[in-house]
Amino acid sequence: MSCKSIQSKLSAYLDGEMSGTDMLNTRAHINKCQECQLELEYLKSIQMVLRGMPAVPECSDQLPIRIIQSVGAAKRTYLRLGLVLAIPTVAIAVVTFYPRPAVKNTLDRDLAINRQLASDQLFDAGNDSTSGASLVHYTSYESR
Amino acid sequence: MLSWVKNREGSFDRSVHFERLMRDSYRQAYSVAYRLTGDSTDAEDLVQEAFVRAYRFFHRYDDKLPFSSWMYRIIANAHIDLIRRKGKIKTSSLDHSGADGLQALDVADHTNVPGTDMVNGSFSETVQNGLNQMNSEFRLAVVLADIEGMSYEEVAEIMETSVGTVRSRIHRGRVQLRTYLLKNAPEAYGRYSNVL
Repeated sequence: MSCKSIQSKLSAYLDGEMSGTDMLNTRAHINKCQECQLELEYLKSIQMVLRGMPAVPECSDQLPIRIIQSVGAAKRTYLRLGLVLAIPTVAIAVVTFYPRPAVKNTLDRDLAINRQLASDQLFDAGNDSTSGASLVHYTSYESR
Repeated sequence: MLSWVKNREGSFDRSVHFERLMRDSYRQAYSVAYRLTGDSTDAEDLVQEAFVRAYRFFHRYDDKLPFSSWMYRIIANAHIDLIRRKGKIKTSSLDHSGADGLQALDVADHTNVPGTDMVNGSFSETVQNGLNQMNSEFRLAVVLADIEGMSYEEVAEIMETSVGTVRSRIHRGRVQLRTYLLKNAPEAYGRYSNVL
């Protein structure tokens, strides 16, 4: 394996995050390569620097209270947003699906009368008894 | 009506459960947030924002995963969003750190007054500045592994990526930090290394 390939794995080697075979191969290379030994030492020093970082400063005692307040405010916002979205949705649904009463409009009424007239006309149709010609007594809406 | 009462009770239980988890984990969350932001006010704001998000998506929380790990994931995402919003992304592995992402940024550490880097507090600040200059993904991986002491597998779970990617991010992050320290605090850094 080349030094470049070994060096890209040195952090994992240092952390023991490698398979057994990879560990053995990497160790064998490091033992005979000064450049990779140096690189490993650099990485160890960075690890020591990071592990030696002082503890973070204490957070404010008010932090949990702030969190609870902001979560509460967010809940109210979601609720308001939910209502803002829900009200028009419900309104549209009501308008769309509300069952309307059966309204007899003029068109329906006219159609019914026309059907009755046609039926009457058929009833009156027949042959003239003198001439034998066909005879139809036309009836009309006004005459009824 | 009964279902409404049940929902109300469910919502109440959920809030109580969330608050209990929050109280148990906010210090850890703050610690990671501080390492990511390098500032206590920014860290508290980040934690607050992360908990609001966590509550919003609490129904998605799988309690097989520790709550703190789930929170780290949310903090990491919230932090990335925050720096995007603020236009604070000063590092990018491709644009600023070389194609291999191994070179640290050429940004001077103005907080590091010459001669004071031997003082431990100041050196810690320099290290924190070095972390701040890092690509945000490298930084998160390094913070979780080296400071929080997590395994690569745990880091991968939090960062929602593969162990191989985590391995690469940690390595590149460490190399970036080393380059930064060699440039900005060689004397203090030398005390940690017998090769300098």
